[in-house]
Amino acid sequence: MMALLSVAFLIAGAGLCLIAALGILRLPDFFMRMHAATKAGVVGCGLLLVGVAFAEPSAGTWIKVTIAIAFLLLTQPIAGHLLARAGYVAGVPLWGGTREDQLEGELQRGDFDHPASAVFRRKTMNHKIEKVVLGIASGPGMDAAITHAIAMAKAHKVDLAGLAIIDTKTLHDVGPVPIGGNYYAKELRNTLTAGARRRVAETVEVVEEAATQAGVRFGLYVEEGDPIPILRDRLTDGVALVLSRQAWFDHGLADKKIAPMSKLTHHRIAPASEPREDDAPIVVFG
Amino acid sequence: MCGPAYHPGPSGPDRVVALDLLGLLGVAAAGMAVVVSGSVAFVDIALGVALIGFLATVAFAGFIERGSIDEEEGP
Repeated sequence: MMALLSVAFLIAGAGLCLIAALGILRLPDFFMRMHAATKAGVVGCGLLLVGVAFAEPSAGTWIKVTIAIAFLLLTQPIAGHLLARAGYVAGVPLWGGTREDQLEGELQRGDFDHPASAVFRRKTMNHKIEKVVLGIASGPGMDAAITHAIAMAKAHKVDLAGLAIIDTKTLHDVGPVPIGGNYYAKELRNTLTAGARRRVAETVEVVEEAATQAGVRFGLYVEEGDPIPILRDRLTDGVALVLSRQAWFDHGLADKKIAPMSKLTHHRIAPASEPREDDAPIVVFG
Repeated sequence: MCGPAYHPGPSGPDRVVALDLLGLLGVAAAGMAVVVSGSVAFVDIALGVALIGFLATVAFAGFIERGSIDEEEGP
């Protein structure tokens, strides 16, 4: 019985330690990694030590294990809190997808001298907008993005540029094909790309009409390839990029659904503001 | 059994967090050593490692808060 209990506790503890280690390796920013290390680490170690006490049951072991666990429970939260506070004060960048920073204005943040922070730091609207670029994708949420981009261009009295991208990287990834299926894979790629071009043409028509009605000058760029570097190239100073929250540049043709927000934050392109409505467009400042 | 732990993270604070977890894994390893070897003395070692790990983390947190470790004047 004791042996069984001991094994159960040991496995639970070791499992939690493993989860903590995985968390350190996989989580995207400093604060999340810290949370994984301290929370899972302390419970994992606690369970493991209880397992040890069950394996070698004697009064001395139990007392020592109790002391060790009490000590862990006392110190680890403090250590974690100190680390998080230190990291925040030092200005360690938050994950690009962070929605709310409740400590903003409470603690002064330093400049964190690390190359990633330059990419991560959220650009705000404190500089002049010289150009509004609308990412032209097809799908839900595009109407809201078009309206927003035109309103923005009008308010700042600047030109509107339409940037139509065909995500050939996603569309050409048709998955594994059996031997001899290469011809059909090629055919499928061509069909998908042609379909995407058709949809781009349709959306561009809508945008053009809306822009003429609003009296905004409109120019169009069409590109094919991986959208992330293309978007990055366009994001120069003074550019405001407007994207749909739901439609990506595969124009709804790829099998897997791509969420623009997670795609952008994954590649460290941080949006300026994040309204909570689901269909509000994404705005990124260059 | 405790898996990969120390990931030399992209920045200094990340390494401190990794070190913190490594300390905890040290405690866990000492615990496992008790079971494997049957010698109860390893429980004391677990206690000691936990202590030192805490102190190290607190010290590093102070360093991070004041600036980078490199800028710190030598002893």
